[in-house]
Amino acid sequence: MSTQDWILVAVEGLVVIGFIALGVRSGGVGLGLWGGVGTLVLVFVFGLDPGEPPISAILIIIAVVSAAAAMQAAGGVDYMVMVASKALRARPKALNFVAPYVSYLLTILTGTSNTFFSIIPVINEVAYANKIRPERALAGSTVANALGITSSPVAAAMATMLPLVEVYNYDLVDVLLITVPASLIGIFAMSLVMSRYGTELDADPEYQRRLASGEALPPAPPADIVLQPFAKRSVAIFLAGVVAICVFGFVEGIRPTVAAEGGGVEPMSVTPLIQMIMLTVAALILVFAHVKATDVPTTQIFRSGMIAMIALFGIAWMADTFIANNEDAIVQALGSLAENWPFMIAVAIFLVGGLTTSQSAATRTMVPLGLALGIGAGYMIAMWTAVVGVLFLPANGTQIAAAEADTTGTTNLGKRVVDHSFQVPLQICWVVTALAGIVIVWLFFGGHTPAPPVPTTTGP
Amino acid sequence: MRGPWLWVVVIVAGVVAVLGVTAIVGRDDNKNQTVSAGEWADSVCGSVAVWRGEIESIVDELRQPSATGSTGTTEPQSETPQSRTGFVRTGLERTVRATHTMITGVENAGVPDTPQGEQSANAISGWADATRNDLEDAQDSLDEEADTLADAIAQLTDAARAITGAVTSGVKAVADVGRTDPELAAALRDSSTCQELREETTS
Repeated sequence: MSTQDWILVAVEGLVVIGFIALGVRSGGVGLGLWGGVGTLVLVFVFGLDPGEPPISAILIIIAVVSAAAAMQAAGGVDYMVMVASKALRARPKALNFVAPYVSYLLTILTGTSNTFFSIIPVINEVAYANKIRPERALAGSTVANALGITSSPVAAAMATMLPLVEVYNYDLVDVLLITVPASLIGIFAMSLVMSRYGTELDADPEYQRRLASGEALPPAPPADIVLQPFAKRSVAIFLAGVVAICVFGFVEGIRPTVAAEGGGVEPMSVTPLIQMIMLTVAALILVFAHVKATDVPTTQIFRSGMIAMIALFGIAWMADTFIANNEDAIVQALGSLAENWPFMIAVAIFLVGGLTTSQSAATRTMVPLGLALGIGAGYMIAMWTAVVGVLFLPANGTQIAAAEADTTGTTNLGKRVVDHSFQVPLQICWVVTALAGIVIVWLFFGGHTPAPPVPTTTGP
Repeated sequence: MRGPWLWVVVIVAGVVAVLGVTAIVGRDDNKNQTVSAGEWADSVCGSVAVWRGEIESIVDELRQPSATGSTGTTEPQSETPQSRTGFVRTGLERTVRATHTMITGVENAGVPDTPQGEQSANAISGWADATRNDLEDAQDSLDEEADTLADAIAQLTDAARAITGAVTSGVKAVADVGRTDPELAAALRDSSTCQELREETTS
């Protein structure tokens, strides 16, 4: 690429960052609208081909929000808040630790971070009812949720990773033996930091402003909650749906099969399954919890979910338009960085994840390069967890949904693009996880790839 | 020091720690260094096996462009003939990149400590240089706008030919090295990574 091409890529990148900044300043649906304007500028002014809008993610949000909103209309969210508050009565701040591990587990079981959408409202409500700064639990959970991809045997990124390291005698179990304990340590460190992060809720100026203006209602103490008659039933249906998604996600063999392109059949992807199951959950709640369909759109969860959907539509479309046209340049630049300075490989993985917003892309481009540079396969597995860098820019669906769900305003997408609520937990988490992974490999996997047998010398 | 700046310092310190630890544990490449025949064979086969895994994944995606993956990046509802062409192009670009990475890995395998080790390393290095140039030409060709349908097809076929040429000449280079250097041939036969690669190839 010529210098002129690089300058053009940089200017396009600045346009993307500029419109994200405009969007986060505008807030709410403004994020999506400015993202749409950014897409238009990239296509009409810079002549880029339009990227793909995140249709699957949008459809999942619609399905999950429908189910969660139906549950809220039935009083189920109140019931969950009561139960969680009772469980956390002695130590409410334990939520900052419990929520991230639950969201991490959900991703491991389903192989996708999309299931997290279903528990965002619950985490937010439990935190708020207990007067815990929602940002602490929500931001930590969002990061832990993304980290779960490298610990999930059924994730697409894992399917990309395994063929790269199998030849070095690292199978799925070995990979999990490195990534799971490292991630558990990383999440703990992150949760520890997050449990002390930011001011207490009552002292937060933005929250006070929202309270004064009526944008946020004071939290209802869990003891004052009056349960609706079918609240428990709606929760049971909702949780059964989440469990069903986890079971179908983890056990491929029980999924319905679909025709494979190359002939034969293959298990259906988890994505449409989530959509079907969550829409069914919503319908069952309407029937068995006696909720009026007209009540569902009036809930807070529905409102914030729809805002998140519009925000994701515009922002992710703009980001994909930039990335689809410049992925090669991004990978080439960061690949050269790692080629010249191999010790930068973990940072390069993190940045490729952040700039392409794709864990699979970061895996397939940077891991082979690290192996070619002579870094041991075990260490590459440890550093692979840096693909959690997809949250570096606030253009991910879960980030947007978490920020929208938090009516107190403590969870935000930042004012200068990179100063969002997820940045500190993200950085703490990936650094500690990568370091812990490296130590695990050093201690238990002998550092490098198992040494090959000494070759037998044969005569001419 | 309080507030955001404290976090910036903490984060920078953490990233520096990762860089430091990576510098310590990452053994770096063996380019121009003398290594045992077994280690050389292991590196070469490892690079080829990683490349093979990448190509398998690219071919799978080319065969199933509308697969409803969990990442949400490939959208069947939005696919158009234009994006399908782009997908083939993307697949070729990824293949060029993967092949480039494989060459880097093979080149970084070092100089085997066998009687003909130096010549073997030179032969591999010569192949790497020539192939890298061919791949860069192929990438440049893919980057250009095609004026006609014939030009567009020629671009894609030229790129595919460059990749095939890189692999064929690579296999020949390694085979030649094995022929002239029996110790390396034995190492290539006995290395666990090469055995793994052979098993994968024949399965």
